[in-house]
Amino acid sequence: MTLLSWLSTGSLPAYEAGIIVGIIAPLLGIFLVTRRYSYLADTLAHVSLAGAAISLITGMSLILSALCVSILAAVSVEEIRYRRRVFGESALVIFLSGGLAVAAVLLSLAEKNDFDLESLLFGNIENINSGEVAIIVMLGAVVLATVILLFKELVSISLDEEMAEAGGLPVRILNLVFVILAAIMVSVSIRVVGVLLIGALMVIPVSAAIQLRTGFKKTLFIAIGISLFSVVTGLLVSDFLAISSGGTIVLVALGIFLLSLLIKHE
Amino acid sequence: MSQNPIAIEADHVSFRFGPRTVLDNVSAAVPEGEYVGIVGPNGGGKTTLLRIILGLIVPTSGKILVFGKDPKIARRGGTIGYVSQKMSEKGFVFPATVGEIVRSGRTPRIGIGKRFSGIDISACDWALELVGASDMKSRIFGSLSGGEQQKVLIAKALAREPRILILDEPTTGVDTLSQEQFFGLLRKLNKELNLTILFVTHDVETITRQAGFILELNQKILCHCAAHEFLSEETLNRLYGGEAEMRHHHMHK
Repeated sequence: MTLLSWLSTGSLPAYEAGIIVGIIAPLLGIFLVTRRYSYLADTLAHVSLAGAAISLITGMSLILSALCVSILAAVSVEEIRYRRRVFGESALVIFLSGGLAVAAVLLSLAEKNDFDLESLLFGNIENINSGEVAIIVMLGAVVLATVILLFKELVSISLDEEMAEAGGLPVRILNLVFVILAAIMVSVSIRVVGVLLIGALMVIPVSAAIQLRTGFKKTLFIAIGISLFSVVTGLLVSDFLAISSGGTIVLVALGIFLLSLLIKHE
Repeated sequence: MSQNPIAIEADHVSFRFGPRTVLDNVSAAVPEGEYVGIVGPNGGGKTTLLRIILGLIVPTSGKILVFGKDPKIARRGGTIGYVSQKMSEKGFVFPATVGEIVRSGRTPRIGIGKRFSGIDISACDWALELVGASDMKSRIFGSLSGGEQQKVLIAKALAREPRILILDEPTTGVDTLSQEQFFGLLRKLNKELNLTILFVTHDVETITRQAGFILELNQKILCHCAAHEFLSEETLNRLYGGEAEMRHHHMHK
């Protein structure tokens, strides 16, 4: 199958969704990685499974259902972290396990035999419909616009949260906005790479770009380049070989990351 | 003390963490343009006092005013520059040029959604020049030595043109020669810009040579006096609770 025939057989929505996720995943991922908060993406992704289960029971859109649950979890995790009731990483594990537990119970209650758990876990971008792409485009635009608007503040907080707060930045509000953006990112990525691989797409391209040891903006652009290359190549390869799209995308990104480790610095 | 306006005023400030009293009824005033070294044993409340001044935590009782205002209001727009030792640990992997690091220090003055103007860029260049790091602007922060990183972090704090500079053990892990240059820079900033400096350190002898005043803190203020009056074996024994011995360092030039 050629690229043209692939595009004409109805995979264009997959391509569009993949590109949007490929751009916004490292856009948020760079802040997660530099703040050593990468596990947040994984936690929200697991929590979004509960959203998927709710969508199954109620018939609500998968992306919107996952979005509501992820935002609720993201804000709760941030509040717990802010109030220092438990350590930050403990809060993440609590929500990750809690989300999975809720999803397991709801899925067992739903008792639907046609439920495709594998596509939720590992992505199923081929069957994405134009309605879902429209939601992904809209939410992706919200994330992109917000990050552009708050870019310098988010960089400041990533460098040192305390220094940023001492300087007078509204760190608490900015943190809340950021975790909500991460929740949006997770919900739009479910169809593309699946809940188990979302974190990888946010973290691996950024980690590879960091190996080049360049400035923040350059690192971000390189990470977006790696992410887009991984998504497009992953989609093409998975389509040709009829293998999991999410897994292939992440494997391409992982390959680039391993190559980046070969770069030597003085 | 000078007749300058009061930059920082602590009025019967106490801070308790659970059953533990960290600060107990601390009152002090720091006029603008003073260089104050804050010394005391671990757990004596030095960092807690700084965090209250920075508006990061609220005292259990009493109040602190920065230029007559609550710290959370006073710090808006970048009145206070803050340098801690934490960034140095993260700095080795953080993907940013020196220019980007310094610009992030200017961010609080600009406003959300606004871009860096020519004035902002000039202020960042001025801060880099002041600390003698203009030639490092395009270098990667993580590739710098500990001393160079501290210079850049001071430039970052200065980029917002603060009236107060607060430093929390910023010379930890920095070699002796870099420390001397670092202290020289602070003296210059204090004299030329009339910058109020609060410097927390364990290095009592060095800070006594550098600062104008010493504030000795161990839950309470034990001494708030001119630096030259402070250093003695008696004060060291009181500070660290043991048989302290005076050793004189030689300056390397």
